[in-house]
Amino acid sequence: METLWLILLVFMIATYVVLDGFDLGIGVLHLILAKNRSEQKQIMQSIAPLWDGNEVWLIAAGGTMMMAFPGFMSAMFSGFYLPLTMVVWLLIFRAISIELPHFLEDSLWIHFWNMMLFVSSGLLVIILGAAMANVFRGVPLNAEGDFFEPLWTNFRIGKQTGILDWFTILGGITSAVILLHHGALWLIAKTDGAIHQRAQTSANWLWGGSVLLTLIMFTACYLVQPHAQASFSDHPWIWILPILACLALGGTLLLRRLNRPMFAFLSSVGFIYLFIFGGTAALYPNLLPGLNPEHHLTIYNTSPSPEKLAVTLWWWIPGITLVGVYFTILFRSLPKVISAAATDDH
Amino acid sequence: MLDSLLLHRVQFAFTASFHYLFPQLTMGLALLIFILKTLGLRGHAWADVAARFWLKIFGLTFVMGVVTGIPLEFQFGTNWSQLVKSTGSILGQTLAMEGIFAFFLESAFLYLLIFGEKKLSKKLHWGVSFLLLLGTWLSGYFIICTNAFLQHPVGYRIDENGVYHLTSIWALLSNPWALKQYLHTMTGAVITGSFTMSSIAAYHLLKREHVEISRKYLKVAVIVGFTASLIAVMPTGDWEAKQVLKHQPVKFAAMEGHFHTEDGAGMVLIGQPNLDELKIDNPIIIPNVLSFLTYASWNAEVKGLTAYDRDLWPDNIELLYFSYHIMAGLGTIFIALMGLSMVFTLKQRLHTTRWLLWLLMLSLPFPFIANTAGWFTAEIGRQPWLIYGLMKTADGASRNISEGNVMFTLLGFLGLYLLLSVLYFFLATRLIAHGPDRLPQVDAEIATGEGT
Repeated sequence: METLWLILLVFMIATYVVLDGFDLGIGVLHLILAKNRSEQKQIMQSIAPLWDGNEVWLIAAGGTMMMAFPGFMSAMFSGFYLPLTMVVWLLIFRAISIELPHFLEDSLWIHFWNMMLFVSSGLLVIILGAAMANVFRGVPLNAEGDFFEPLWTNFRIGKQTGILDWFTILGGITSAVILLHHGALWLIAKTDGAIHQRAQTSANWLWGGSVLLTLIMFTACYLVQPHAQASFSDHPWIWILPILACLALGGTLLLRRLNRPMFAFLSSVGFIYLFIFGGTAALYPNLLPGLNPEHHLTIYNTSPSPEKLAVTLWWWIPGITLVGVYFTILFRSLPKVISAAATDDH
Repeated sequence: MLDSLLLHRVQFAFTASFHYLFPQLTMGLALLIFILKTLGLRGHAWADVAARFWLKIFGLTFVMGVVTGIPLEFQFGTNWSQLVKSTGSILGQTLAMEGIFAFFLESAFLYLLIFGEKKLSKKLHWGVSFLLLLGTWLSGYFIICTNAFLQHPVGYRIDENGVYHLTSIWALLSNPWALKQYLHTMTGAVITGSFTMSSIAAYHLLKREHVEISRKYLKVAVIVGFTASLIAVMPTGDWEAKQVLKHQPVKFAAMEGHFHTEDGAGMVLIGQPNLDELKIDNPIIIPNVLSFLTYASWNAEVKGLTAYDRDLWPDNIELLYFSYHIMAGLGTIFIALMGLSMVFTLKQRLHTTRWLLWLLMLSLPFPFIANTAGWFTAEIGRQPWLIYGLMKTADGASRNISEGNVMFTLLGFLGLYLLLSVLYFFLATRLIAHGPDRLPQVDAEIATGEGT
């Protein structure tokens, strides 16, 4: 039962990354790709109706985490107190940067919010990766399952970890490049004209960066976390996940060349899911490894009664099915392709 | 440790109170917009125009509600990690339900409501406004359920490690505390929505702008506002007070400013609690009324604060007492003001009675104050308990975070929310100044001279 909830929780977190990932990526790209206000609007219209729903996955994942693995949430949120509070601030800034500009048609006002969107989205895509790398690397948990980490110490992995070290910074850069690529693929599928062309060009570069950083990151993950090495040698089938992930990443380029932009985007969706599930499988059954293996937080010691978790499925499964219906309605209600000329409607 | 606890409390109180300024307006407006859309569906063209105008203000307020709501879920984990560790599997149920059943509904359909008017049929657009109402009100219910578990825990079992286990999800969702508190809180939200609407209508009428449409939706706002003001006191306020008396008698005595047990207790209308001498300074007290309101008997005995162990007294009785009295006093004024407006509406003279329009316009902030004071009463009154009778507040806070770190984030939130307030006021006043669109040229009702 705990394993099932782990899969459901990771599914929700990965869905958040997949969905908010593209609008965060576009939050960075928009400043680089758009040359005038109507192109700007064209780009923003491809995400404006969606970002809020995408972000709800984070909130719903938080609730699910609290419900299924309260011990994990308690340790992680208080241990990463500072970075998580800053994430909240960035989420606030990003949300208002998307929603407020159109209230006032003033060039200075709009330019300010565009800059804010660029900065907050950029920091968020980096932090998202750094956070995952922190969880993967492990933290100095004590016997009560608590820890507190400073933002940085000496940027090395060892006894005195900080939230930022070479491994987590690498994680942050990798995630930024992957999500920018993800965002570019969404733009290629949803826009036409000059923005479509420029997104193609940047996707070429970002694809190369994603391949390179993914390979480096896989290797680093394997080296940094001893538990992962053990998992891969004890259960060789786990290798399927990173291998499929690499194929999906290759698929994004191939499908783009075959002029199937929406499938290229979906291939990138698959890549991100496989990447995250691969990491989870490598850690299993740990949720948050400690530096001392005796203090690992696992799915078993952070979760209350398994029989209650089974009962919860009775409302959880219909609930998520309903969410699937809403998202289908919402995504279908959007125009297939957004043209720069059509942006003055709203 | 004590100071860091205080900072955790101040931070949560501040972010939660600031947040609640927005959802109380959106929950109230969701109902009013739904009413306007219903009128629109029945052929009143002005109602569709008014709904469009209010939807703009709804949209702006909704964004603020969303962004200020995100920190709260995080803070359970960051600031109240010990609470999450022991009760997360229970509190997480309602929080996850809020995300899954309410937030997704709202986020998916708000867009369709704002941008779908041209694309959807009239009936479908009306249906979307109903779904949005459903989403916002469901969201409120799940949050009240979460709070109700802290106020009046039900459906749980505690194991030998002090970890709480849910024994019945049904009990959690049908907590009698939640049902009553929900009705009282939601009428409060409707009051905020209708006062805001009538205040803006009064503003336009006083400026002699958008007169036709403003007088029409003002009527809707006054009818809804009067009804909600009545329901807030009777029966929901009465239910809520009686349930506090039954389950949290210390809170009840403290909020009434009732220090000593007595038969035929009087109700304190005005006065300042004096905790050194355990009395009310400068009192105006109506004799026997407290006994009557609580036990329906003029001479019933009502227990005072001194009947309880001093360790169980809330740590800020003065603020608790004033919060409750501000809420109750404003509630009375709301009934009077909306009642008066009702009379003038029935006489079809409200839109020309300038002194009353002035009162309505200036009343804008008071429902927000009353609702905030209501929450202060509920939450300060629960002290020193985090989960009433089971877990002290001091045992629920995170243990591994230094005072400096909490101070740092508290200051961050203060600064950020100051910025948000400025932006909100700036943009909301622009929307209000712009006002609703002009009515369609051929408005059937005006043409026939019908309507008020």
